[in-house]
Amino acid sequence: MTMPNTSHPDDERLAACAGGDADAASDRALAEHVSACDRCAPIVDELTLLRVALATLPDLAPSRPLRLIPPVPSSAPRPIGPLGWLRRLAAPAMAAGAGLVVVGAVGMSGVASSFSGAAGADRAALEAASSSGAAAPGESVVPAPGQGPETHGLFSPVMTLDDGGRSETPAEYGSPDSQSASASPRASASPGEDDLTGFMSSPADEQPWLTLLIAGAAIFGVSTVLRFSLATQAG
Amino acid sequence: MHPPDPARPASRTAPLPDEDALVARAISGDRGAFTQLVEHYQSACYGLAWRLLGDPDQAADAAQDAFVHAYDAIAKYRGGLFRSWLLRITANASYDILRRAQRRPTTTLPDAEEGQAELPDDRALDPVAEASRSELYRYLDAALRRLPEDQRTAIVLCDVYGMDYGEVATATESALGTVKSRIHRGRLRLRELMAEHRELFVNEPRLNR
Repeated sequence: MTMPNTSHPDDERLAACAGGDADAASDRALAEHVSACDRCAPIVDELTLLRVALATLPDLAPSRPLRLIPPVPSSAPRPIGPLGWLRRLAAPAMAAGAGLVVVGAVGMSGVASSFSGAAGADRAALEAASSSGAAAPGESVVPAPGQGPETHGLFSPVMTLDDGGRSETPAEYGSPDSQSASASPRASASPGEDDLTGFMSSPADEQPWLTLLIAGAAIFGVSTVLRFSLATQAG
Repeated sequence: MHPPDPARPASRTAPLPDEDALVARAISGDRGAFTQLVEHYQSACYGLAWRLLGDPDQAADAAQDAFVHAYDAIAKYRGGLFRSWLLRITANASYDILRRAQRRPTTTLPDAEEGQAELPDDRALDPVAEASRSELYRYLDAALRRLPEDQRTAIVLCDVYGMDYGEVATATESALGTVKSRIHRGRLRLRELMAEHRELFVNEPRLNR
C-alpha cells in the first residue's frame, strides 16, 4: 500500500476529496493516490468523518420565542382603487360644496341689501315725480307711488331688462325684441324707475351667485351621498 | 460507545407528514398553515442563523426576518423541499445581518484563534436541549465558531446544511473558486481544531452506522 510519496496532492485537494466537489470526484489519479497513500488516506478519512458529523449537527431550539408570522397589516395602506379615490375625494368635495353654498348665499344677500338700499332712495324720487304731476311717457299705467319698487322682490321678474326697453333706458340695457317677450304686467316710464332699473341688481348680476349656490348644494349633496355609501361598502 | 438517547431531539427536523397539503394551503393564503410550517422548522432556521452569526439575538432576528420574507414569497414557491427553501431564505437573511454587522466596527463574531476547540460559555442555546446534545456536537459547534468568518459561512452552508458550491457562491455573492477554496481550507482548519477530540467521532452513534 505504501508508495513513494514524492508528490502528494496539496491538502486543499485532499479536503476536496471529502465530498461535494465534482472535480475531485472525477479525478481518477487523485482517487488512486489517496487510496494507496499512507499519509493521504487517513487525512481524507478523517475529513470525510468530519463532514458526516457536520451534516448531522442537530437543529437548535431558539433561545427565545420567535415571531413566526408577520402581524396582520390592519393599519397598512391598502391599494387604492377608483372607489377608494372617490371616497378620499368625498370629504374635500363636501367642504368645497358647503363653501360654495356659503359664498353664493352671501353674494346673493349682498345683492339683496344693495337693492333694498337703492329702492328706498328711489321711492322718494318716485313720490316727488308723481306729486309734481309729471307723467312718464309710455303706454303703461304709472304705478301708484311706492308700489312699483316694492313689488321688486329679489327674484321678481319685473327686474328685467325689458323695462328699460320700453322706457328711455339706454339701448344697451335691452333689446326691442325683448319687449314683446316680456310678461311683466308692469311697465314703468318713470325716469326714477329707469334709474332704479339700471342701478338695481338684474338677474345677470344675481345669476353667478345663484349658480354658485346651486352648484355648491349639488356638489355637497352628491359628495355626501358618495362618502357615506362608499364608507358603508368599505365597512 | 453511548447507546442512542431516546430523549435526545432528532438531529434534523423531519418533514411533516402532511407537508405538501400545508404548503399548498399556505400558498393560497392560509396563515394558519404557514404558521404551522414555520413553527415546525423554526429550530432548523434558528440553528442555521446561530451558526452563521454566532449571536443568539442576531440569530433570532435573522430567523424572524426569514419568516417574514418567506411569508411574502410563499406564492412564488415552486416545489422542492420546503425545509431547503426556508433555509435558503434564512441563509440570505443571516447574511444580510452579517454584512450590516461588518459595516459596523463592533462585530460580535469571534475571530479565528489558534488552538483546540473549547466548549463555549454558551447562553445562546436552550439549556435543556444543550444538555442533551452529544459532546461531539458541542465541540464541533465550538470549532465552527473559531473558523474565520468566510470559511465558517461556506462550511455551514455547504457541509452543515447541504448547499452545493453554486448555491453557496450565490448566497455569499462570491466566485465559485473562492467558495471552493474557503470550504477546503475550512475543513482542514476544523480537522486541526478537532484533533484532540478524535475519539468523539468514534463514540458518536450517528456517525457509526
